Amino acid sequence: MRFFKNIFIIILLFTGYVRAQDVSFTAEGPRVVEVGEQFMVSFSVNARPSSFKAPDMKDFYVLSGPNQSTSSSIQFINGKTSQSITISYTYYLQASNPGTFIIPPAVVIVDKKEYNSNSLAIEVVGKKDQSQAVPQEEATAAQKELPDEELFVRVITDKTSVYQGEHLIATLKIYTRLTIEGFGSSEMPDFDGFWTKDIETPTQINLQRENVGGTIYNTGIIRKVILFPQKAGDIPIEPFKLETYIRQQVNTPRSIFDDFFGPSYSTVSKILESKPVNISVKPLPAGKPSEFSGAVGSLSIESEIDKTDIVTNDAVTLKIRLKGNGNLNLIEAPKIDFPPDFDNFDPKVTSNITNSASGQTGSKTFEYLLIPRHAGNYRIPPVVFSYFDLNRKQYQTLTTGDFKISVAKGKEDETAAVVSGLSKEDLKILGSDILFIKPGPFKVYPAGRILFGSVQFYGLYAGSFIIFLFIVLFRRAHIKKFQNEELVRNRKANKIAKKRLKQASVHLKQNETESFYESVLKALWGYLSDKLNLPVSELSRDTAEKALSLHVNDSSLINDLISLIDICEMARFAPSADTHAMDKLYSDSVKLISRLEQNIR
Amino acid sequence: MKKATIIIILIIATVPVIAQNIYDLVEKGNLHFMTGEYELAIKEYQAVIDSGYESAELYYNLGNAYYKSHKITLALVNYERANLLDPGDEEILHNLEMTRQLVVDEIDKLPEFLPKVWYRRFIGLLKTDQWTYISMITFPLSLLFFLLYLFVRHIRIRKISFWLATVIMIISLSTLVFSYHQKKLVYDNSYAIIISPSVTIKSSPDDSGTELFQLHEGTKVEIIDQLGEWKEIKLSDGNVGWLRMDDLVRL
Repeated sequence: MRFFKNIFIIILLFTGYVRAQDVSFTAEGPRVVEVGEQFMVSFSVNARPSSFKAPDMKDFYVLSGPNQSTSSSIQFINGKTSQSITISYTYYLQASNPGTFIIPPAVVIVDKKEYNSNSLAIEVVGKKDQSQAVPQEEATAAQKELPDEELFVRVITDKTSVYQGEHLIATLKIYTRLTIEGFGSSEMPDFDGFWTKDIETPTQINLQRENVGGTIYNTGIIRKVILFPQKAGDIPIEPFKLETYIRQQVNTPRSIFDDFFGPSYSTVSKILESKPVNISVKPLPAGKPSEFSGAVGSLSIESEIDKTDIVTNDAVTLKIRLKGNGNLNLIEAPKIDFPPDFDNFDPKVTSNITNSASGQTGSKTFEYLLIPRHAGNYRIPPVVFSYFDLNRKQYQTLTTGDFKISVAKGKEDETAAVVSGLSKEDLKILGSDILFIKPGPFKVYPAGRILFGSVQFYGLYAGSFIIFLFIVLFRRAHIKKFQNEELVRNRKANKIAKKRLKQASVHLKQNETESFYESVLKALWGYLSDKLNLPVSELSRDTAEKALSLHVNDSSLINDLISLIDICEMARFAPSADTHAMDKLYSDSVKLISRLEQNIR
Repeated sequence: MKKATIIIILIIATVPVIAQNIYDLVEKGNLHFMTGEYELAIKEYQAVIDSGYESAELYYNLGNAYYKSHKITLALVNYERANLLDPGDEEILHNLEMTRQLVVDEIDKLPEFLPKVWYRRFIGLLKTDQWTYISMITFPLSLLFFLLYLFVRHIRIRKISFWLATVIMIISLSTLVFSYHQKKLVYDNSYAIIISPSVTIKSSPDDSGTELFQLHEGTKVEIIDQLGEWKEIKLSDGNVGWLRMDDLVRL
């Protein structure tokens, strides 16, 4: 007896030990029930409580409870002892009204501390007497013919219209109202046109009660997949096939043994096939940034460099981390234009991605290892990363900051540097491209319209030439006209003078002294006027002398002419009837005019 | 005096007054190019050309936009056009040479008479219109000096003006010839670029003609004759043959 007492003490000690552990207090119950159905709700706690306060369950009719039960276990593993105790309070309830009801948390006090259980939401479905009764009848009547409503599989997608690259979740689910013995072979859809990633689900299929259109089914998730559509357009998801074994009651004529052993069952297999699902994939809108490489989701970028002051041939690590939700697996390393003096290697990619019902979440890190080969100050340009933001439905471009790295000459490099100072390095041609456009404002001209051959062109040449000709011809004509008049007068001067002298000789014969001198003077002045191209009114003794000197070289001739004119002028006003002198004057005048005619130019 | 003003007005009228929205299109095209939207830039530049305007710079920018969107043949066509309009521009020549290196066919050029090449290079220094302007200004000037020679009595002025008139007249006539030749080279050229990826050149303007040789897109040819839908072409190495006009685009 003493031995047992000792054991009991030990157990009590362990109980105290358990109390010190974390207390968990949970409530369990079905998610969906029918009106009038009996169901069980239990609250379990892994410690011995000092009091239990049941929640308010006024929406349900309590058939019995709380029924307290205790279970405990002791484990010895490798000399270590562990003990657990579970105390549960069970209620049997019945729902009376349809709707969704919440059972609030229950409260227990363990070690003077209050603990709350989780609350439960229970959906109560109105009972469909007929629809439920009939299939059951049929099920027993036509055993092998399993009605589709009793057992089916579905492919459920959370979205039916997505952008290219946007994730969607496809869930393969089985719905049953029968007892499933097990599953046979299955044929999973290929998901052609999608990039797929499975979401982990328990290997054991847990059936849960679910309300589908007012009927309660036991449902189980067979597989959950994240899909990333890879092309635009309508992409069908092919049906999914599953062979299922169902236990059915056999309705053969009963024997006595059957009654004794209870109803007999047989296993029936059935191949279930889901309906095909169509996903319409929208192409990404136009206006993709040039850096865009297919990333879709909501992402953020950060970059980090481990050191910025280094010596040559030292390694620097540049980390680019993309974080967020999207098609992370498909994102490629962003292209960075490292300074050409840096040796760089392909980036090391590490990803920390979790696949869940909300898509792919996590981060992807690209690690670039850079080794500068020459000293100097370098700049690592900002990384530009573009993705399509699903929330804003537009492209987003993210830019990290740039890094400045100053590279000093390494010690082991110094000797080499002296040598390399002598050897010249060829200019590194990094790439060739066309020259940039001419951005400045420049003129455009109507096509094909050029000056050569245009109206203005011909007009200018013809016009200026015509003006030229016109001026020349006009001038010529003008000169000719003037010259003619002078010539005529010049030629006729001698004749007119002789005519006038003849008149004078007539006056001489009739002995009219005054008229004689007047005629001689008229002849002389008239002759000079015509020859010198001067009007008579402008002629005087001085002007005549001056004008003549231009045309006549012989000055004695001019003097003779002037003296002759002087004599005539004097004789006119003081006439002397010296016939001899008058004869001489006349012959002198005739001689002088003929001499002038010869000498004048 | 009145006539002179009319002439000046006529010359000024040849400088075209162009609607501002044409320049807006050019400006938009340049902005699109700078932000890397080459397709949109092409659209804007093409709209300017479609509304009947051109310039060496415009063709050059359009060529660049085509080059950047990897349409090499169309880039080449536009660079060639730009080069025709402004043969002396080094940027145009650089890009033209770069693009020519991407052309598949390599055709040896027949050696040309060297003075002819020099002459062509010389008249390429100025555009057709610039030569024409020089000729149009010097011609009346020369006539003016002739008039001076004819009507001034002063013997020294007469001598100087006669020589000036002669020299200026020679300048005027020679620039007129340059302008004419340049115009022939640029606007009456018979060059074309192959735009079909691959063309078989026939011996006669007929599908059943003997196949002579094969050309690829981007090759520059000279059109020497045509018959219906067919054009006779001559390569720079002297080879001659016929092809359909759809395979070509005129410069």
